Amino acid sequence: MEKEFVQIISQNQGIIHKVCSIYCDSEEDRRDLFQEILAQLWKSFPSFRNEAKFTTWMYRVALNTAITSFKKNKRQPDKTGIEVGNFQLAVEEYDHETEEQIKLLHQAITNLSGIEKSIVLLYLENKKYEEIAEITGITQNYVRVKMNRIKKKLKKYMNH
Amino acid sequence: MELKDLKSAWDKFSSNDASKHQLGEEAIYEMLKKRTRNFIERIDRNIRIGVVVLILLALFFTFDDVLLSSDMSYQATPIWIQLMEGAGILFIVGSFVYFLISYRLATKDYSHSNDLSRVLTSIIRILHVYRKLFYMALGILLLILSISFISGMFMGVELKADELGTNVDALSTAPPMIRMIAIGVVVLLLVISGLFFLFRWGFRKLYGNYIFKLKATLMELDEIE
Repeated sequence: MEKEFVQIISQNQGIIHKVCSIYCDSEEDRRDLFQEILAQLWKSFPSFRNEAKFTTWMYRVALNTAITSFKKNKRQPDKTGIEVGNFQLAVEEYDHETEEQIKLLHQAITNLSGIEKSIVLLYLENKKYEEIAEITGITQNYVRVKMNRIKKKLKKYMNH
Repeated sequence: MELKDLKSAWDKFSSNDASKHQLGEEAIYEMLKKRTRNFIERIDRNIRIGVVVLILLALFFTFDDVLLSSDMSYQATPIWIQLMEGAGILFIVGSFVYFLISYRLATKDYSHSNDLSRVLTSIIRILHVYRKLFYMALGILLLILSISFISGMFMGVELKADELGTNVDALSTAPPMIRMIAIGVVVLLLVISGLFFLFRWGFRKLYGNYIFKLKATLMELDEIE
């Protein structure tokens, strides 16, 4: 079972990386969260039934782990700046316009709550409301209302 | 910048980021092997340790009461001290059974494959049980401390009375003895409250923010539904 698990995770690891990049502000946090998500997926793997798509189940476990992850009282990263975190490391690799967009994206996402981050990630991944609702276990109506609020928030941050 | 631009920025960023952090199967195997206990597993370990400590305390308390204290008594231990000690043992055993049931109920539904609301509720329940265990263990510690202190004081008065060739009643109503008992009780109360507030502060510092964050997330979910 372990071999099957590792293979399937290896093929879909992009999901975990995306979740980590949305929820973490430093490489250290990112490594910890990646490992925690991997452990939770392994622990929950026997209970995975093919009723849902594997990626849907994987998103669900990864997002639940990220939202409920317990951070000890480490030094809190500077949430207003963009000098920290994975986004900062990455922006140097893009052209000026993309760099600006990624910085804005980071600033906007940093200010969202845990649930909002999960919805916005799935929105950015072009998931439909129905699938977002299935992954998060909340109603489509809630997703729609929440998404409208998030869009307003994002616009506000971007127009600042 | 429009929202659709965010999507294109995200696409560029996420594909680059994922390929940069890409792990091979060997690395994933290694990570699985080296994985450390997660938060709930650590809580689980602490609860198991807590229960073992409770059992040991109960055994110690019974052993001390039945074997040691009875041999050391000059006179028969007064009925009120025996009752107090008996109630202490019952309290410890009762707490032990209560925790096993509460913890079993709290962990029954816990799984990260559930929907977020159920995951949050399960973790909050587990933390509440953990908090109860913590306070009960603290309560038991303080109870043992108090009972030992009161028994010790009584023994002291008994010894002194024996030394002076008088009885306990006469000695314990003498003004110097009343003053000593009063000082003893004040010291006991100070130590107990000091320990209680110190441990409570420690627990809140460790888990207070986390519990608050989980509750806030759950409230956010309940906001519309």
